[in-house]
Amino acid sequence: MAATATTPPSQVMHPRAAAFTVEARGIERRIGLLFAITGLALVLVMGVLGLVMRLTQATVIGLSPGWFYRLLTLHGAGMITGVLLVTMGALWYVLHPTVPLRPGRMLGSYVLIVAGALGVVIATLVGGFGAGWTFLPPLPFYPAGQWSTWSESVFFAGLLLVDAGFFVYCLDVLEQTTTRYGGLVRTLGWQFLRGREQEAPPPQAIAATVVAIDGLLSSAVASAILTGLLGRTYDHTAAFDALVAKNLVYFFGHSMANLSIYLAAAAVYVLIPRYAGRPYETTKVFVAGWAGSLIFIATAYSHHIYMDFVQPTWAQIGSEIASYGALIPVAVVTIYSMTMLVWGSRYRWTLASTLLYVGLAGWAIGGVGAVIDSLIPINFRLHNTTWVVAHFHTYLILSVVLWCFAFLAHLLERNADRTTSRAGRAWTITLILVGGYGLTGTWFLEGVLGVPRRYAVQPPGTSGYSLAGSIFALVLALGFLSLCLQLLPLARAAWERRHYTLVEHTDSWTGTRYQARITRGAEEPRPLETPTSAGVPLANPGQLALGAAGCVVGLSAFFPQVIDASEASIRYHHLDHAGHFFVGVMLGLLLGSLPVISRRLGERPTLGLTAVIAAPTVMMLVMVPRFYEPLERNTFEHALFHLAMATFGLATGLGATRLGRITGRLAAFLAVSMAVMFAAAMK
Amino acid sequence: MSNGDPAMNDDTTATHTSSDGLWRWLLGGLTAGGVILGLLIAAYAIGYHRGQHHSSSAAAPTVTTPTTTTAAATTTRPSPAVGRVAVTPALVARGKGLYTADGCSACHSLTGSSGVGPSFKGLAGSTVTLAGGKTVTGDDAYLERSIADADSEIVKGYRAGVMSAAIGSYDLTAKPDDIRALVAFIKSLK
Amino acid sequence: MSVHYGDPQIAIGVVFAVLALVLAVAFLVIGVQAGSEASDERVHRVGYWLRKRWLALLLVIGVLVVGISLFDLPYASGGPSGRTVVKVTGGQFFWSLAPDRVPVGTRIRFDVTSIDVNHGFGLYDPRGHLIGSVQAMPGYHNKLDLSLNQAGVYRIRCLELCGLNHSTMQSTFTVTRP
Repeated sequence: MAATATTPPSQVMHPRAAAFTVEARGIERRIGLLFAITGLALVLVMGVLGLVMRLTQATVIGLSPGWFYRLLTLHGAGMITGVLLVTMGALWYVLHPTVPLRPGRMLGSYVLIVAGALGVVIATLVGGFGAGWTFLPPLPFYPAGQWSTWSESVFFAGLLLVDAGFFVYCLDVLEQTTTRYGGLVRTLGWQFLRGREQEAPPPQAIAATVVAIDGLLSSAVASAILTGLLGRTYDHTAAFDALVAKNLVYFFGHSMANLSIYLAAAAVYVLIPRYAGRPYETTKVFVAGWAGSLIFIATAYSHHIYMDFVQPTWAQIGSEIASYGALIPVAVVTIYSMTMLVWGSRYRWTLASTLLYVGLAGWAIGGVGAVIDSLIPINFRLHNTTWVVAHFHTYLILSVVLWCFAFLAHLLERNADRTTSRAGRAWTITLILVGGYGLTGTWFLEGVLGVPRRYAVQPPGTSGYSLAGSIFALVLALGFLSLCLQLLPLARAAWERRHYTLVEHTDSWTGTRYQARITRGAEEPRPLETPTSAGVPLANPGQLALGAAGCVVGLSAFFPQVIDASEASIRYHHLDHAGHFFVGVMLGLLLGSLPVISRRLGERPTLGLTAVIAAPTVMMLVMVPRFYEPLERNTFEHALFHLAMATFGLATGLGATRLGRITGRLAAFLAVSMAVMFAAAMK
Repeated sequence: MSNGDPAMNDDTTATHTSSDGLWRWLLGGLTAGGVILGLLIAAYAIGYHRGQHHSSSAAAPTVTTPTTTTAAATTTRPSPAVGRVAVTPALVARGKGLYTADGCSACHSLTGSSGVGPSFKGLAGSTVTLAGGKTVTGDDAYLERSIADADSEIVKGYRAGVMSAAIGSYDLTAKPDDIRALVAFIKSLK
Repeated sequence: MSVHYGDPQIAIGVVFAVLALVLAVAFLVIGVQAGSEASDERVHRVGYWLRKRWLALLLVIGVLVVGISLFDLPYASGGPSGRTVVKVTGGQFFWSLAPDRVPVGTRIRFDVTSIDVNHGFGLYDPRGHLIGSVQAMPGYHNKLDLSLNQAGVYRIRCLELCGLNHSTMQSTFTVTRP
């Protein structure tokens, strides 16, 4: 009379998916929901702002240019932040079952990002900041009466906080995946690619690692330029080089926008199989594709600077090649494989799965618009026209945002064990596709005609297009409204079932089946053990020796002759400061990695993380003429300032040793790079 | 970022190497660093002496630059009449930076060709004809006035009102140090 | 704002529209066939066969278009060599061009800079068609070599967000008949 308990087959996912779909734990559901709801709320509000802007361009609403540019700035920053939040949560949700990501870090990341978003909202809506979310220097410092100086600081500080939040997230992802799968090379699947191993980490882990590395790079660049500009807001004598600043800004902006798409793709790798009933596993082609993406995401950014002819031509051509290089893994691996999974699979069409599939098309079509514009002679004719606006809105609305909603829909569907009605779905998707492609299609057309982007007042003769765009935007808004209405009953059903799971008992003798409710948590899978200290950056005597050598060689930055020679220009002098910082970092790495000292310092990863973020930021903030020019008159005070640079480095280096082997090295390297980039930009 | 031997992930492994071994490594590292540093110093010394042979007295002032610049800064009061501006390498470098940062390059060339404004080449010390026909000497005071009170003395053949509109936002009248740097830079262009 | 027969933007738009349509149809067809059953073996066979060719096609097209594009880079190099240099200065919110007129057929070098923030020098021909653009950067001079063979009044619009009056920052450049 024994009964066997099994989970009843899902009403939502594909029947064959049960074989490879893991149960979601409470923490994954909660964090997934937190990030999804916050992010989507932000996206929806920003969407309304977008509608208002388009209606203003159509002169249906009479918003002033000052307000238009405030909304433009907020819309851009808010959208990127919103989709970033959702995709971060989605990746966490699909990665946490196999990789012990730390909820504490995730929540810290959340707080930083939300605080930063709040700063941006205040800077734009209250302070009037309207330089665009890409804040192309020196525009923030030329308000032309539009915004106040404090709004510049608050905007930069807000972005810095968002950036810090993303940094914390990427660091945790990188640390935990490399610890789980044994080192960076193995985690990226390169040992598997070379045939040295039989198995590779799952697709979402490889994708997460690549995104984390490029995300950390992007964070460091953002830090360098934002602290420099923040310094400039309170010290007007701090000057910067317009070209270097542009490079840093576009590296950061391009990466952030791109990475949100790749983050979403990582989640899509896990979610589409659940509706197609076919598992998706890592293959050598997959590993090779993502290895390519790792490089190309970081090197394609100069395609934003094609029309700055003073940018070195090798950088322009390199970015053109990288932009096309980036196309290959996306088209041949991600989009193709996902479509292969769907084809002939008896795909379960639910709200989530439909959005997932339609999003693939959005990425493909937006991608075509992008690679066309990535050819320099064509960019010459399309640069900063609405073509640009069209292509990235295709990526973002019709791919990433749809995937963000798909993630929320999946969470709710799964918990509620039901999906929406077919008719409701059809309506929603139709409205969104017609509205979305109509909106972007109008922009593509206007781009061909040469209509410039970011115009509050549209050129004469184009009002028809603005009106058409507005109508499509309204249809799109209706589509998203319909989508939210579809999600509500799912949310209600999921809420009602939040405390229990359904379990099916089969009576072994009679075969009778009956369902019962079991309180959630009682049979939850055990959480993965978070591994303890994953090592120090300088892990063996040889590396320690290298650290010692680095300290000694770096001392040259303190020699009076070098300091005097560096006074030839402010840039060289900042580079000298970077040298002092470097000595401190090497010393910190060396001391913190020594076993005896490392044991004394103990396990303090959060303190280390704080040091690694705060120390370089403060160092760059005080590297403004207002602080050091008075000191330069007195040799002793000047030397103290340099010593302070080294002390910040020491704090950074010591902090890095608390993070772990790979992330500690990367964090230390990035901190020094930030100082060097700062020197390149601030002259 | 190397993969590292899995066995070396554990930091207690380092202690298994005898403390003698660890100290030997550290000493080796310090020595290697010292050698490289020594090579750098030697290279600098050789280059420095070579420089001494080629140029007359250019090398000497660079070493004492910080103190001479700051001496000039502390002895003058922050008032428009800054008096004679000493042409020191650091000040010229700063002025050169401001030349591009404050947008002077947009209108004033360094090559002698006139643009929206007169070229800076050879301007310092030359005889300048103003719009009314009057001639003045392009001395320090003239250069300083042209920056601080942009449209007070327009050179003949150029439009009034353009410069004050262009540099108004920089608020240079409140930055005598910047003005001095720019004057030093202009003076350095023979 | 317009395009006319022979303008490159038309070809660009048509190519994009065709490719977008092809992709849309492909996704539609696959979406419809998603409902039916195909064996894993068949999916792998067809899928991998197609993917090899898909990769080859993309690589060939990519190398071709990137290669061809390298022959049409707008970056000027070297000295003016006989060109008429037109100094273009952008600022909030004006353009100043010196000279502001040239005879038709002159080989021109636009020497573009800015006195404050980044602007975009967008040149539209007398029919309203965008010829191209180049950035106006503070502290840098971007040089664009062009020959304007159509007489008339060309319009300059700013193509980089520069503040409140970005949409109204315009000027004209005249190409006179000989």
